[in-house]
Amino acid sequence: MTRTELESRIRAFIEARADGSRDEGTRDALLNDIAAYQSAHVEPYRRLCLAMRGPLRAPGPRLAPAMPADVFRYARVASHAAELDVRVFRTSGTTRESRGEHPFRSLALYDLAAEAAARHMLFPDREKMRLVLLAPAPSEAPDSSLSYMLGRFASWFGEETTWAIREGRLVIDELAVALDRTSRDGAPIALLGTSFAFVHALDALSARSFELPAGSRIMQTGGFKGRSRAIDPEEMRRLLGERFGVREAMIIAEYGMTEMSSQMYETTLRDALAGEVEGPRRLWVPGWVRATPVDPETLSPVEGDAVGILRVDDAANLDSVAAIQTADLARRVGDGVVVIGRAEGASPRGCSIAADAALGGAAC
Amino acid sequence: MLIDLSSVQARASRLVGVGQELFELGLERRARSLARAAEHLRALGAEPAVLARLAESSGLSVEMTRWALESTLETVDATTLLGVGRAALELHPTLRPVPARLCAIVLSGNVLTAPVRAMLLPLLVGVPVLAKASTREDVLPKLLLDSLEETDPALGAACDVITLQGDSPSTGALFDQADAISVYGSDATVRAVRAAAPATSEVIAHGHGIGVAYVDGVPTSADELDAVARPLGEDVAAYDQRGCLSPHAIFVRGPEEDAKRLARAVHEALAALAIERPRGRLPLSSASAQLQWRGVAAARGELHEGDGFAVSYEGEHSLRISPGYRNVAVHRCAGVDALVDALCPFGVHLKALGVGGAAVRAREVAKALEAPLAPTLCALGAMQRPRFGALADGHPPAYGLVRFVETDLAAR
Repeated sequence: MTRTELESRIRAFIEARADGSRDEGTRDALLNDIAAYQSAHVEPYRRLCLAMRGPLRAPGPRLAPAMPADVFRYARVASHAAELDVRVFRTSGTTRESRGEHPFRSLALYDLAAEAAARHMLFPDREKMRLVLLAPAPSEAPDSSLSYMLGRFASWFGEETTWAIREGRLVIDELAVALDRTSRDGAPIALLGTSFAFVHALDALSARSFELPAGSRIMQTGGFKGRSRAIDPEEMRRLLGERFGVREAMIIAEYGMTEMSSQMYETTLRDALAGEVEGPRRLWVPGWVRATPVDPETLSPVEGDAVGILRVDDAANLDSVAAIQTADLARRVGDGVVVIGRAEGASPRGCSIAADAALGGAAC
Repeated sequence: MLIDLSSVQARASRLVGVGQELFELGLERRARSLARAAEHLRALGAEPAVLARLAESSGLSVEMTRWALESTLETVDATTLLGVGRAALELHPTLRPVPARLCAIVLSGNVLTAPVRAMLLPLLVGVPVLAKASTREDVLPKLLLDSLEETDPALGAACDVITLQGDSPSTGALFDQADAISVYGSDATVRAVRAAAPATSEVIAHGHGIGVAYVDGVPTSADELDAVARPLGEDVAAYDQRGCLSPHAIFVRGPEEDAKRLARAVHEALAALAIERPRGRLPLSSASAQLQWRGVAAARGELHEGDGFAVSYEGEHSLRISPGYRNVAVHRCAGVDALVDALCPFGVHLKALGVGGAAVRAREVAKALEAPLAPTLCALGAMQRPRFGALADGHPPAYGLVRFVETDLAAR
């Protein structure tokens, strides 16, 4: 199967699943075909697939090998030559060697997947609204996939957009002005950003609080790894809800990775807007993505709602590797997953971060 | 049993109170009693129920636990202890030793037998010990204390073991009366202890670290290759590669094919050890890290997996810290200078360097090491079996425990 044929199939499948419907048989067949293509065209994945055929792997029907996300830090993971890159997204980190890289030959599938998922889960009730973004604009962070995505959101969903992080600093006055304005004129906003930026904003806003109009929503993404402060997700929602006057159902987390093209969103916002009874808070998995907690030794899916290490198969990841093994702990909840936290390697050595940074392999 | 602030203070005061008596017992009595205590602990550890408890608390298999106890306690004999004690206390005829009044020890629970040297060395040089055991692993420290009390009550009276909650305010009380504080743990733990320690206390840091092995030329014959690979396997498998001395990588001087041969040979050695001394349980977080590590190895090099271990060949790619649990990478290097360049970033965290191979040049390696590198240099197979009196973190054994007063004014 050629790239063009695969791309066409993936595109059609994403478009068909944009309404939230599922077709797991077709999805799995597509993912298998993508894996077969990538095992022939993406050198690190080819090597991984060869290595994973050893006798110690679990017998029986198996998923295609998943590429541990760390590989993006140590090898070029792409089916195309570097001169064909239209964009390279990089993970956070302090040195060039420590940052994972995800090269893209085309952002068409990324855009398609991102718009479909966000429209379904984050903006199911309106075409456009005011956006206030606690992240740097793509012009300031050209290798950030989050900034890119939010920049696309501005085009697709933004009636008007305020970027509240400029030159690495939170522009608190502009943030406050945007929030005051919306409180006055009653037009709801979507406040989107990284968890850490929200913490920074809460600190900077000091005692100020707001009553954002009904329909306003908050999306936070990313954790606190490497930061000096970390806040429990429930506590974070409570703080955000109190400070911005947004009910907790309208505050959701987004799960995305530099190594992926697709995103997953918590379900409560869509459920609340649809007037549905809120089920347990969980991440909605788009129909073109498979999210599987696996046993880290056997690599087999864990049973029921047991905790495993999250594996994500993202059909939109055509030009790299669709099957990604994360280091996040997760479990199935209903029709979705809950990410519990990062399964940091139990490094018994406090030197690991320092030495890792010196060696160019810093955890980021 | 977790104890409170006033109890910590009371215990510390009591220990300080018996310091003079401990010192006056004399080195010979102390050495012989400590050796008997080690023998007593060895016998205790051989009891199936005790062995099972130690294995359970440490996370090691019963077979590895047995090996760990044997290989550590066999180094604690009276002759060795006397030699170490004399070297520490008898620097010069005109120098009178002044032992610390109390050594507070913060144990990390990372390596099962670390408490043995940590607790016995201060007692050997006449310093009472107040050891704070990790809540994860307090079985061995308490068994050691029991053995001391059983074999020589006077020595037992100079030692105590407590367990505290992580951020307990009692932690400060642990240090208040200690002239010496020996801390085992991460950089963050060491930093916290330094911050909490009185200004007059000597903080002896045994921070976390790693080991590396260097093979200077891979032998051509199968027997000689096995004679290199088997000790390497021992070094990697010991303590399930969780210790500060555990080798994370093996550097090989020689052509690529030789390095790959060695990788395969180490794989075989680990396969045998997986049966003799199986790996203990693998925590979920470590399993996740292992998955990431092995994936990178497979993607950029060659990965040889086994049941509970893996060896990779990664050429001249940058060194990566292993997740432990018997995952080791083999790298090529051009020689000693290239080795030192690769090791420099680790600084004081490089704790052990095992050397071997067809053209072993340990002296050349030792001379080539640049500051601050000061690992314990040893033969392959001995990386995790340091002598009781070996240097630790580049320091003499009794570093920080004894000071001296010049008695002959004319001598200076």
